Amino acid sequence: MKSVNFVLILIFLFLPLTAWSSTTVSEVEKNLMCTCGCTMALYTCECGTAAKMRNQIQAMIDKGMDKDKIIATYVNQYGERILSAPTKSGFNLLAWVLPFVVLIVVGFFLYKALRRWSIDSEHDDEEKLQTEVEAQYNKKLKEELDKFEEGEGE
Amino acid sequence: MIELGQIGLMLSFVLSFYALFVSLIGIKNRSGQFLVSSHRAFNSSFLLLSISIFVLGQALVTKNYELRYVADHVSNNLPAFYAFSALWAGQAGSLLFWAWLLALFTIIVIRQNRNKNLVLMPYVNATLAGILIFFLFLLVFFTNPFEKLGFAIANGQGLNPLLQNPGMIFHPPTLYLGYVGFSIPFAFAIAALITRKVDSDWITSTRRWTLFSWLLLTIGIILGAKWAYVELGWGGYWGWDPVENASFMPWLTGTAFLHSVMIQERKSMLKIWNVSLIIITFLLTILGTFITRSGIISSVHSFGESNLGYIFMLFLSTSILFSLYLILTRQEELRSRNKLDSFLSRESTFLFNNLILIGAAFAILWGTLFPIISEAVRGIKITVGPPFFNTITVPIGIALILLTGVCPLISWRKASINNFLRNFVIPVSVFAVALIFLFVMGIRSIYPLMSFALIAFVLTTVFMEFYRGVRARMHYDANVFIAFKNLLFKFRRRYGGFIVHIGIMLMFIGITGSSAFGTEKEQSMKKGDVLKIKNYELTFMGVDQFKTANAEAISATIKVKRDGEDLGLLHPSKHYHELQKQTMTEVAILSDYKEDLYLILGSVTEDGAAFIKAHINPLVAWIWWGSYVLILGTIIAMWPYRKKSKESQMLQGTEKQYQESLTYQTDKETV
Repeated sequence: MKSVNFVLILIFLFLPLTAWSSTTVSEVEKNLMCTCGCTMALYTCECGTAAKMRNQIQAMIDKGMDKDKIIATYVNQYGERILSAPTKSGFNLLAWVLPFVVLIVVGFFLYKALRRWSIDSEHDDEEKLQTEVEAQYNKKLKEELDKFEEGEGE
Repeated sequence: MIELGQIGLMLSFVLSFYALFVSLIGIKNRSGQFLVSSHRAFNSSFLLLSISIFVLGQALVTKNYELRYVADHVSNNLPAFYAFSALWAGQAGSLLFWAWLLALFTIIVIRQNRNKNLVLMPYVNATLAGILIFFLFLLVFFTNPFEKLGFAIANGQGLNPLLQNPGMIFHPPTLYLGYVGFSIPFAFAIAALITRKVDSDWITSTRRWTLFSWLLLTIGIILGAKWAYVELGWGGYWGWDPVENASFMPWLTGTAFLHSVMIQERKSMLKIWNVSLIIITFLLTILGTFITRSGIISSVHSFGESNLGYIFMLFLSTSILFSLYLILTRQEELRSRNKLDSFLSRESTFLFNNLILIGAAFAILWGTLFPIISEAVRGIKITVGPPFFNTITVPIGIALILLTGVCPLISWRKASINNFLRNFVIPVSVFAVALIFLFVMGIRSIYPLMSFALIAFVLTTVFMEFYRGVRARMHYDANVFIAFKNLLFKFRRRYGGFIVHIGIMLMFIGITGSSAFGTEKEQSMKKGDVLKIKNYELTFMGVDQFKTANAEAISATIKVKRDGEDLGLLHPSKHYHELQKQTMTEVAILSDYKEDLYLILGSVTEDGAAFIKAHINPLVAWIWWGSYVLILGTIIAMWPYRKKSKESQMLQGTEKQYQESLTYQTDKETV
């Protein structure tokens, strides 16, 4: 039960949180890379190409396109590489999920290992073993007493 | 003169081989004479590399275009201090600087260990010689800084304008100092594995080296962030570029190592873990260099595609295989025979802290390498940029803040339930009050809410530690100030560490504030136009054109008012570097403890109108203040005891007893 709680705490800690937002140039540009070859995200680039891209985005917003449509337009033109982060589908999902899975799995094994390495849990084990031996002994004693009582009854 | 540099490099390469060779013979024959000879070879190698670096530095400052490296990195109008900094701005120069630092550190280590670690030192020598040979091999055969241009030119290519910033003079050397510094604990770990002497001796011997490397790496990273903030002109300080990531990963694993070694020193446990951690840290420094030099991963920092990447890969693979072989064949010696006294102990929380730090390093490594993995699996190269890293690292960072607070509250060895609950009452109450206060103040997003409240929790735990320590010392000292001073300087490792935690929390305040609450606005402005952002009024006063030493500049004048109060003029500008055909943005920043007003000049039209972008970045100054506190704390923690070694050991022993007495005292009070 304690192990389950521990896993739940970890899951809670690492739950990705999402937020709602309206379409602005600033929000769209965070999802795109600059196409000048500088390898910078659009919002971090101040070159001429970046300025042109921002104007294009503003024009698309003015036409009434939403964030997803604008991004899709760029992906159609330049491919997936223009996105500043992997999509959350297919193989790319692995990029998002694996770090947390590794943390949770390793965390679980670390928890187990720490319990095993601890002297106090050794005492717990000893007590458990003692209780088990006592239970077996009591069971056997009860059986023999029962037999004895049955024998006497005969 | 130039030939002298080349000869120095070649001879140094030969001498490094000699140093390795005689170290190995010395080990085999158990002969001290061979080892002394290897020490002399290292000294000579350092001297020769110093000559080489001096020759290259002089060629850069005097603009001697006979050398290709000089022609590629400086120009006639480049100021002398930037010309000298070109030493580490290019591939060959930076590798020469790396090799020189390694040779310097090696002779310092040899000097420090003249009369100690006699079993380990021959292997330490051999390992360091192996690393030095690798770097000199690259310099001699692949990227020689003394290669001649072959024809005469009147002016050089000049230094990348991005690197013409005071921060850039210090950022690369401090990073290299950190990277190269980790070679020393790595060499000791390898020596400990080979000799099967894997007790705490190698850790104790390299503790200051590890702290020194960690400190320099930290300073290098912070200087890089500061440079990005003032020079790249996008309003932020961390862009999750692969090379930034490459410096951050060894910092994370190095931080984990600094914590987990305490368990080996106290309980003689985690030997395999500590050895692995320092090996991983060293390998990550090499991986970072590989990423920068190979061009395999796109980065703004890359030195361009070259065949160096494959040689780095070969070195990296050999180091991994050799280290793995050593660890696998030394399992018996690395196995711990001790046990933890209790699951509920500081040792356990340290291991969870390690888990989070290593998890963060893995997540960053995974994200950095994912474009290559994607290309290999799907044939599509994708980009993994800031949105990915922010999403992945923010929750991990919050978990790390939590553990930073929890660790000091739980006693070493075994915490009783009463002690545990008693220690938690005040910090948890502060956490709850902070949470309610922040909520009432209007903060609704879960991450900043948790981050700020947990920072309050951590700071409370640290102040409680100081309070308890001072109170305990008041039995011996005259007043609070003397008690505080004695506490800090007599137990500097422990309390220096707590000051580092305060610094990290101050930095987290800045990171949280600037990431969660930043606002920006942009506007095309004519003379007299006003841009309003939050409580600021920015009046555009016009533009001026002027010349600097190596660029044409255009600068806007903006009058700044906050809540009606006049705060003066700011001058964001653009500099056009004719030689490199590059335009650089020079931002204007007005900073105080609450926020930074960050102005960027965009395009300027012929009629004198300009496009101005304004950012309000809350709490950024806290990042830089936090870093000063962190540096101070680390210096306190690593400051050597002035007494002789025996007395110093006694003092350290006293510190341990003192810490245990504190724990005992708290337990007793609880009872």
